[in-house]
Amino acid sequence: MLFLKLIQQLVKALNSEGTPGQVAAGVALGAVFGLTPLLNLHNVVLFGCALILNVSMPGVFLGWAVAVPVGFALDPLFDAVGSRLLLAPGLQGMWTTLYNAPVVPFTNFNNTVVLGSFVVWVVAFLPIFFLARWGVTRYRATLLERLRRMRFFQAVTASGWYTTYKSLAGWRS
Amino acid sequence: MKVFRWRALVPLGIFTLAVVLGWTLFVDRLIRLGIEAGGTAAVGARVDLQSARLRLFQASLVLRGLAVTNPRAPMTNLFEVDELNMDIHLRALLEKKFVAETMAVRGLRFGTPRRTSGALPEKSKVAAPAASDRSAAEDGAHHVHLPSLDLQGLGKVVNVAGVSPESLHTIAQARQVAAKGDSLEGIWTRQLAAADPRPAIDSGKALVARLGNTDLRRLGLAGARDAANSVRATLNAVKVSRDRLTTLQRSVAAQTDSLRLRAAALDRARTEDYAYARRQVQVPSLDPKDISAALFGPAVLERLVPALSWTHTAQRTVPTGLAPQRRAGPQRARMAGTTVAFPKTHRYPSLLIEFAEGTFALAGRTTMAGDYIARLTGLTTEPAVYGKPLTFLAQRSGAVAGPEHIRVAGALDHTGEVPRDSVTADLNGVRLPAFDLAAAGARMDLRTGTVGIALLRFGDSVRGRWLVRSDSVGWTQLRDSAAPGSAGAPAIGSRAWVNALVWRAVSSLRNVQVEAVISGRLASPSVDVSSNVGGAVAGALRQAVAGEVARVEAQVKARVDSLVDQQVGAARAKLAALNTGPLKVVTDDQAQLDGVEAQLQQKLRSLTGGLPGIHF
Repeated sequence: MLFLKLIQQLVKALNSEGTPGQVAAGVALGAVFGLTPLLNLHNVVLFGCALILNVSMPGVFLGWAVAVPVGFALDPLFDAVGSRLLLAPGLQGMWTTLYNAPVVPFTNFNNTVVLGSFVVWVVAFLPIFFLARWGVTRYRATLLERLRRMRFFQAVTASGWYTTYKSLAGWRS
Repeated sequence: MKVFRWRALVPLGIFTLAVVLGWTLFVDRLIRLGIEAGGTAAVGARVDLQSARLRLFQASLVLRGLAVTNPRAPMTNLFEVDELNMDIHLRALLEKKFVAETMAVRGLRFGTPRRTSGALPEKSKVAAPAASDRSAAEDGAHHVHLPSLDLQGLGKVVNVAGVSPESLHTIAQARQVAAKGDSLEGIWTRQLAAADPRPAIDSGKALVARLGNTDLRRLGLAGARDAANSVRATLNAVKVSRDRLTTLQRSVAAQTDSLRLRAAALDRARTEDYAYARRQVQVPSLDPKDISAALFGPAVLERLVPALSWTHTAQRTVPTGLAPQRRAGPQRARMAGTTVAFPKTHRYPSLLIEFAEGTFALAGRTTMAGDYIARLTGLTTEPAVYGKPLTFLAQRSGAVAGPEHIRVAGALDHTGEVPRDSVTADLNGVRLPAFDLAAAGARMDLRTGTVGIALLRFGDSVRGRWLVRSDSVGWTQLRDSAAPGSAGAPAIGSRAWVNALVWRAVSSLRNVQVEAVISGRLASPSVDVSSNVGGAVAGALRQAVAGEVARVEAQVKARVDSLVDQQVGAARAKLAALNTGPLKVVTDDQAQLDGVEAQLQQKLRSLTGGLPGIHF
């Protein structure tokens, strides 16, 4: 079921009316929800940004879905990066100020996994964006027409989810 | 292409509304779950909370039905509270911190029974911090050596050969002193050779002799100036040599003093070895303190473990200083990671209850049962941020049975780098428990009496006193230790013989005082116990077996002396050699340099003061 939804997200994102740039921006933005632990204030803010910025929402969900297993797998790396940053003597002043500032502590930036994963996402944002844009462009130029003729593709696009999505696609852009 | 999707403001608004609505509906539930989860993790057993009610506009939080399971007795609550009413700081909440100005506690009860077990699954228990505190305290208590009341060596041929040289501390310490002496001697010999003052002494003496018979008027102005310059140069060389020697002399003296102290400690080590050897041949000390420790030591340790455990808990939960504090991150499907707190002075601590007051009751009909009033100030997880110590006071307002007066007060000062904790407790006219004195085969029922407890902790050091006094003591002989009837007189030194002797000595005692003094390091404290019971038993033992004990002790001492005398003698001889060797050479050389310097000074004065108005 989860796999089918992932496929649906993939199909929706790749075939949406958004430009490759919009889809790629959505994927790059959505990756944060999968890479960083979900229940933190920065994710609420970034979800609001995803809603209000003219990026592809299917792209956001695709980025999210793909990044979840990556996030789990890379947790030890995030922990190491976060530890390095939080315990770096030169950054103690900044962390102390942020820790004692209003609202900021609700981001849980002082947790090694949260900070490490967020920093990794920031660093990886542009590479993810360019890679996704290149992928969408290549896909639409080469694979799309061939896929449309496949029964599996037709079954996915004919599903209730997809139909609902198409009917709501009006506020996408 | 447009950057913003303005039509998305509607779903965004709905999303925000949903968040606010969810928060309003579920915040109380989230607080309740948070307190239960956090409390369970901290205590190592279930913490249940019936309800939590946060009123943001009134800045208040009310918790009802809080029950904290005793991790060591899962069917009993450590404590239970009917209601906690707090006035909170809203600004602190914005910083994800919790600060309560006042907290009113209603219906606090200790030791109440639970309907369901509050034990955690096995895997959770392992990580429970409270369990590790208890384990650390038990480790500390294991370091306490308690003498035994074992007299089985009496009346037998004593096998002093069983006392082996390897087990005696004196020998090892004496060898260390001698080895250190050898090492120092070698170092000083090399340093003395390097700082040899002989050339400076010889050249100074030669110059003094050369100028001895010289007439200043015959030297002339230039000759006098040259002579004065020579004297100054030699004087400088003498001073340099003397300074070098002074530094060496100080170092030699300091290290000799240190070695002298270590040599002096050999006498103490020998006394400890006598005691050790006596235990090896199963003849106890007849010192009243040792006998008191043998009788009451186990009961003292039983009470020491919880005290040490709470000290470890205080250290863990209330850390000192402003350094970033690390703790495990929240439990979640993802890796928990580490959460780091960055405390800062003049800000809110993560958790602070400035003032709390309430009443509580201790259930049952035990010594402590009754109604109490309690007051607490400055409960915080970051005392260095708050800047004031935690203080608490609990006082009995009504008793279930008996008295009279119970007062427990204390302070936890973790505001500096070194934690300072103190607790005092005074209980007068209370019903005291009975003690089984296994070493005496008797039970001592203290009935009504007085208990005084004082515990001070400074950094790693701990000092405490536990005093119990009663003037209405009752004694019962334990069933399995009653003296045999028709079987005849028990053998001297046997368990039955000891029990019978102790029973005769103590069974008529009505006034009993037991005092235990704890001192030393938290990780390895020592306990001294004194009691009039120990004195009575010691007196009886002396009457019965003094001659036998003296005989065995003499044999034991002779054996220990024969094993340690040679090494101790060698260590002391080495120390004496250092005093008469390098130290004396340095002192003699210094005296010679002082003499030459004085002569040169005099010569310089005569050279420069001999011609009026002339200064070189």
